[in-house]
Amino acid sequence: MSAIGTFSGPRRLGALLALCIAVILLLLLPDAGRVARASERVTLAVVVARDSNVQSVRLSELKRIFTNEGDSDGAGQRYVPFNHPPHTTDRVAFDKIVLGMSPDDVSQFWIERKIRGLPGPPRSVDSLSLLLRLIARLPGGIGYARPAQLTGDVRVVRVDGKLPSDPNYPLTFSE
Amino acid sequence: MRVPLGGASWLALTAALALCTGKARAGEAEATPTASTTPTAAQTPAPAPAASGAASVAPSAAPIVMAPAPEPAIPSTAAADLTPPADAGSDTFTSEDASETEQQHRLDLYGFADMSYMRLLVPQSSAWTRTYNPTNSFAVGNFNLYLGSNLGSGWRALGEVRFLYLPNGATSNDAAGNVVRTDTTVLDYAGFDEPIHWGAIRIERIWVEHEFSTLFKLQVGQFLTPYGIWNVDHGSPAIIGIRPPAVVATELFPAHQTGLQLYGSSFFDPIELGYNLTLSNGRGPVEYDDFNDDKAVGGRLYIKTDAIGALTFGTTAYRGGYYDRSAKYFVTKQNGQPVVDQTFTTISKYQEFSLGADLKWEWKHFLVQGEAIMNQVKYAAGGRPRVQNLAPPNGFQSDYLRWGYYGLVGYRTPFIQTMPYAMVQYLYSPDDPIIPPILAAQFGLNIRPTPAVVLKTELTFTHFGGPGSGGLGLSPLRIWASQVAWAF
Repeated sequence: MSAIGTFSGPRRLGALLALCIAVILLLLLPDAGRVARASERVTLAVVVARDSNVQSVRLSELKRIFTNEGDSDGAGQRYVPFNHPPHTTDRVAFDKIVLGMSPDDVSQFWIERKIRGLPGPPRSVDSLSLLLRLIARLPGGIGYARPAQLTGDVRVVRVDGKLPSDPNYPLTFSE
Repeated sequence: MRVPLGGASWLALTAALALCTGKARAGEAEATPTASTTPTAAQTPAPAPAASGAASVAPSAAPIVMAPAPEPAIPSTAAADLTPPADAGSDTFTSEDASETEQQHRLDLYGFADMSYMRLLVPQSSAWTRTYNPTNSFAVGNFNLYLGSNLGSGWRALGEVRFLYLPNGATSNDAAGNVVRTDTTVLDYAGFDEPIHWGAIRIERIWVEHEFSTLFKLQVGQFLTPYGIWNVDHGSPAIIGIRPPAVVATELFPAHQTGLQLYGSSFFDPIELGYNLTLSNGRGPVEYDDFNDDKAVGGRLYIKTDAIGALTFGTTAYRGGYYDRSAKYFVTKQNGQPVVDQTFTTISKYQEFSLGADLKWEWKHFLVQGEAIMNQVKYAAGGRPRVQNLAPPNGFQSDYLRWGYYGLVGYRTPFIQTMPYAMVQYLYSPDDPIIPPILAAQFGLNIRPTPAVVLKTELTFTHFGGPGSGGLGLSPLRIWASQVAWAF
């Protein structure tokens, strides 16, 4: 009897069932198939224009700014937030830390807001250099980037009283 | 506070940059199904150029390490456009370029739609199987299109229209009980005169808004009455259940108003306080014609915090009048000359007062929301309409007080973003003697395979507090409904 012949009947059914379950599990658990790798701690600096009056923001303020609630700074200047494109590493991390949302949650959030007739999301800019220049030139501009990526046109502000180099800085994640 | 750089200026700036670099894009795109359902590989934005200087930090900051990078070449036109306007409050819309002009008032088109299927789970002997429509049918219920535009300098406009199959198939009944169905069949001249049905468009809202500051935003036009949760959410992809609760569907508050709305909010970390004030024509038979000067006023106050999940509590009040009349021309004489004039007969006239409270709490994956609403109506002398039912009581409409509530709990599981939910609702509505008090429970699943698509299935068990004058309350009503709703 051949090897195929011995793998028949209930055993074949069992193998097929196991395969189906494995496929379903892989589909349901997006991280299941990924290979673990060493993580690296990354911080995101919140930046404004160099001549901005803003020195610090609270995490709760950041959430309102990046959900386009229309808040203004202490001088009455309305914030104009700029975002990274959806699904980029820094954007996903920022949304998770500041908004408490996954990429799907973020999409859902903006769909529901627009159905309610409220303003849409902050503008996202593909190019980081362009994003930083927009923040630097537009009154009220605010955004975020890794400290090593910053230019001289922008200034880092404290988040909950902390700078990116401080311990327990809130905008920190593992890459 | 107004944005110093006008929206037109902003758009001119980004349009110029986008044209030059081809990289800037409007963030609104991320809310589209495409952006949300086709995740690209995670990527880190390209390292930024930093040769021209070092980032400064807040006072007493630790030094920030800079990454040297080449300064990208910026086309001279884009560099010029990066210059902020001298007058922060002015509109710097000075370009003669046509494409730039179009960018400045870009029209944002989006919307939602849904299709449902509903079956009654009652014996064939129940009158509900013959009086409740539509059942056992696939039905496209909503096809709503939004047209939004930022007009610059704090101005924003939004329109929402709903495309309808109606009035085709709409029914009405006369005093003798005859049901008359509207038929809009016409012959299509663009083809071979094949019969087609025409439908209609309903304006859900159309307004223009100016933002003076976060605390003062003025909206003018037709708007959704800012009460509770369901009426503002209203889009099938955004609401949890398939059909609105009876307390919302019966419009204890008017769903729409035409007039002015002033609203705003202020944030006192961790609490947001907000308000809405409305002045409108109020409820009436014609949206654009108020038959008297009795304007409606309303207001809403809410408190919102993210300190314990996302918690919102609000209360709303509304007072307005309703006046409907018939008219008839007649000829009279003034100074011996015949003059055409008009006389009116009151059909219905009343004053109403509505009060509501709402609560919504989202904590982790839990959702709790509920609304309680009352509506009191007092008719004016001579303003009571006739009530003509097939079954008594007939006569004139009495003053009435309607009230009701609903409460919904749900939990969003990670399994295809499925939310099992349960809802309880009650409505006491003595203005319609046919319908006895309603107590209903709904159990359903709200599934989101993607952020833009929602699948729902729902069982409704309805218990009536009495038979009602028509006897419909004698048999309970059980409904199974399913719906697919999508945003586009």
